[in-house]
Amino acid sequence: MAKTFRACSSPAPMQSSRILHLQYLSQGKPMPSCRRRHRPRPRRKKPLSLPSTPVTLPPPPPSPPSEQRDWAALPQDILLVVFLKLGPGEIIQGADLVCRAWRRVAVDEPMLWWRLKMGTVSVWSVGRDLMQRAAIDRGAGQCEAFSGSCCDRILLYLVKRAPSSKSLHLSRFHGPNEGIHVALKNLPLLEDLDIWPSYVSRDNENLFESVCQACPLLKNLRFRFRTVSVGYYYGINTVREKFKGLATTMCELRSLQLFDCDLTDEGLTSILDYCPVLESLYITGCFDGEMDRELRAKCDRVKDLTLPYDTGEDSVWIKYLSSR
Amino acid sequence: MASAGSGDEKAAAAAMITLISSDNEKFEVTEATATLSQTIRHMIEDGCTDGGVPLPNVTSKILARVIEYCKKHATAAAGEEGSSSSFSDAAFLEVDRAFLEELEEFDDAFLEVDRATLFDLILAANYLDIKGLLNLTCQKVADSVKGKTPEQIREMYNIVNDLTPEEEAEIRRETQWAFE
Repeated sequence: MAKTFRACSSPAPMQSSRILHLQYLSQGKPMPSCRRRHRPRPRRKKPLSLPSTPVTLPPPPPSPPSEQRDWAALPQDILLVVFLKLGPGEIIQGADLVCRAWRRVAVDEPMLWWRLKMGTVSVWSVGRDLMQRAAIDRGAGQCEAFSGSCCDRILLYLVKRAPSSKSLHLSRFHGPNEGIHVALKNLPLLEDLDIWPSYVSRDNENLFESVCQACPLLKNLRFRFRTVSVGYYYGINTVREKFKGLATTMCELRSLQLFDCDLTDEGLTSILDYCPVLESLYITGCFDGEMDRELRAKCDRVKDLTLPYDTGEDSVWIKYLSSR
Repeated sequence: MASAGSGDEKAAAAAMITLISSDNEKFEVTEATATLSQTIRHMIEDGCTDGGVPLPNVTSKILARVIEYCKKHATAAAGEEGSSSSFSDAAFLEVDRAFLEELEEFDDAFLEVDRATLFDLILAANYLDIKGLLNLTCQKVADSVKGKTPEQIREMYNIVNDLTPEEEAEIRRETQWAFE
């Protein structure tokens, strides 16, 4: 919060130091200084009650009746601090409509909408799409982080409105590879990406490689291979996309996390070859292949390494570190 | 400290600051306590605290609460600093955790106030520029409005709806999807 007023021996009325500062500026006078005693001046229209000694203190401002306070009159700076602690949905569905003063802050303070945590709204909700669009709009092009479940349409909207986004956490994401690829390619500052596809279709084959091709400058990447496929009649099944290895150089990638991944020795080799500055590699799922000396030597270059344990069971994996 | 000479006593006396509330009550606090307020810290740096610091917008009731908060948090900070030199890392972490837990309990109890007091504490924290206290009190307000409808929030905080029915209808039309 920007403080424009640096108080001295005569603190001014509290309601807004910014307003006071403006009052001084508009009168062409400097702010009161401790080195210059405040003397009574000839009468002026609107005296500023700025006591320099306790003796000249003005009477305390009368308290509002029956211990009530005017919460609509909270300074905007303070309301902003309160609203920054709320999620986008909580603002749009609640604080937004309370009164004019609250609405002004909710709508006109883009800072509230720079780091959007949309939570998990049901995947197919139309309201979710509209709320996400409204939240992105209110960020006035400055949205730098977005997290929530969404589809490729919202992702493309975000790219159009806020091309300087640095961080995306897309849970239960759904959309064809092409849409994701085009969107991600147009976020040149993207550093941090977490994708959990909601289902796999023929459109999503090689999604992981497609993501890597679209943003080779990522620093952190998390990807889940197990996805949820919604059967038309039979409810929910889980599907796992095959991991076919990496074929794009990721020259900035420091941290890679792959969940529910069917890893082979070729796949692991490709990761280690194409990510020259990798510091942390965390893979769960299962491992099928040989750990020869060459591959071990490559693994040793990674500071923090966790690989799946080869049992064929998804849930069992150990820290490969212990064998090093 | 027991063998402190007169020079040290003078230094200790000089480190006391007098705060004067709007109803002219005086509060003697240590500089460590007072400087949790950035506003007062700047005044001390400028040498503007002789004869006391008048705070014409803070009543004695609120100032007493604010000082209670600052004392606790200044003590905790000093305790952490002191402990870091005399404990091993593990012991330090343990002490650190104990401090944090105690502070959390203190903060929870501190927030057990009526809405009018909460409002006054927020304004005082903002005016005196005490970041921790402003965050704490604003978090309390944020938590209280989470999941509430505009009507419930208005009722809770006695806010008069100054949006015209037409404006409200228009906003609701625009964001109707959010309420479905």
